[in-house]
Amino acid sequence: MVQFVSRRLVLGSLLAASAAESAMPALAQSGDPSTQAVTAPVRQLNDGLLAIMKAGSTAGYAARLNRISPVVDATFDLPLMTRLVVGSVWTKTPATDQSAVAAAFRKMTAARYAASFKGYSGESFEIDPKVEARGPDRLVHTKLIRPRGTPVALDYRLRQSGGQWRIIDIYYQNSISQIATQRSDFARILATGGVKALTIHLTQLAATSAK
Amino acid sequence: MRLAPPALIALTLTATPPAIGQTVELAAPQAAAAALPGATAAAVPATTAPPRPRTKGDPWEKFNRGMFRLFQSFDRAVFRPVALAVGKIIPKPIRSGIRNFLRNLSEPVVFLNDVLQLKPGRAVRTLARFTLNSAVGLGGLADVAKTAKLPHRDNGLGNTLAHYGVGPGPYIFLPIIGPTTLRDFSSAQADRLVLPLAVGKPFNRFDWQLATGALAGLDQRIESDEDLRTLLSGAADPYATLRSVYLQSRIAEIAEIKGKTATPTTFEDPLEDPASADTAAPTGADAPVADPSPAPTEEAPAPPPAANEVQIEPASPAGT
Repeated sequence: MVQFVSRRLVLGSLLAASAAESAMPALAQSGDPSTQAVTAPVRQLNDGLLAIMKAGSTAGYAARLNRISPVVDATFDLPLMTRLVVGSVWTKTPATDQSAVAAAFRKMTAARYAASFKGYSGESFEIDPKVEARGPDRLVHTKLIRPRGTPVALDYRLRQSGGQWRIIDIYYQNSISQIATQRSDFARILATGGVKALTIHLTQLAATSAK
Repeated sequence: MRLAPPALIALTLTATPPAIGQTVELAAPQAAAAALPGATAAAVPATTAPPRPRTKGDPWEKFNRGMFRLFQSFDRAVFRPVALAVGKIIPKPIRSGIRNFLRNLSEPVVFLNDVLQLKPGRAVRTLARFTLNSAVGLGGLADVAKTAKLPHRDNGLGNTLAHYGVGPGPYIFLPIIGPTTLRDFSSAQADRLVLPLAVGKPFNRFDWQLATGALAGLDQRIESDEDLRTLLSGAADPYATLRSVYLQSRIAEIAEIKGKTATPTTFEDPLEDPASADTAAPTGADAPVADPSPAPTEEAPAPPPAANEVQIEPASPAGT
């Protein structure tokens, strides 16, 4: 465990430091309107998160949820993310179960943001104007700057849907993918109880966030 | 198993409700399944773990899950309460002094592996750090090198082997030691032999190893408490979540050792939409680079070829 820890910390500082100067493939230039279209959802999400952080506990959970839900809807491609975490069984899932799990995933995502972002102590977000491209997807590098402590690298993967760029995955400290983690976390529940069991789990997660 | 400063995981992907005092339960999948209408009840026996597909990179999953359960029971009953009590009794500056001291003793091994990886720059910085902290930092109790822009950079035989192309081997979870792989676990044992063999006393004494091991383990448990709770309390399958996060972070660490850029290695996964997978026409031109790390990737249902064209969204589920 000791090793795991120190490695993680080292990694975080190393990568954060090298992020700005590393040569990346297919870099788009800042100021390019197409690049701004890619970074806009990330900016919108960051602004929304800062707003609920500042609203904090005085606003309360319900108010934070009301405020962040439309932002989450507008910035994430939640239906696609649902399909990605459900994986290959998606096509064999009845349409009613598909919409139920998508609705539960959406609720859970917003609820966890509302529950986690509940206080403000001088944090800010920094968005790297250079956008990385691979296939149909774009990668936006951001940093969470904290008054104390090292910056945290958060990278957003976006894909175009209906002419709009939407977030489909988040990478924590340049290494841990939300989709990959959730796929692992949900693999067992999907194997044992199927999409219905996952829907129940996600609904419970959203409900416990309110507490 | 400290993953990151506490608030941070909560801020990101693993964001979970702040389940204060809540212990991690493995029962979640069964509980959820049991709540289903009768149709699935037969498929989910109440007491025994149901069969599930094998996970790539974790051939010893059954053993590992047993160890994970064992660790959770031990952690709940003994380890966590003791660690938190120790954390209250011993003030933070003293704990960080002990941490610095023990970490300073690891620098010779870091140096050795810097050299083995043919990284002279890093080796020199590690040596400078060790010398500075040992001489000016009261034998390593104070991390003066960090303020002199010489932060600790971990390294070990596991990284060196990975650097020269050795794969991780099977994933292992062991109580106290936590998540590791066959390569990393055996390498860690070799790393631990360096000081006892090269210096001898007191490093080769059993009571020294026991005492330093206990101190480091307790300190680690204290420091990682909030993170672990945040990471695992909302998990449907805490074992798999921890495995995934550990393996992903190792893949990134090894990519970094090999001089890869700051692009997350998982960005290579095309993340093909399951709903349009059968209609996607893969082309080779912009195929994603093969996983740069020999480490096992998590079970990704996405097929290997890249989906180059912009995905055509099917009728979205009514999720709004």
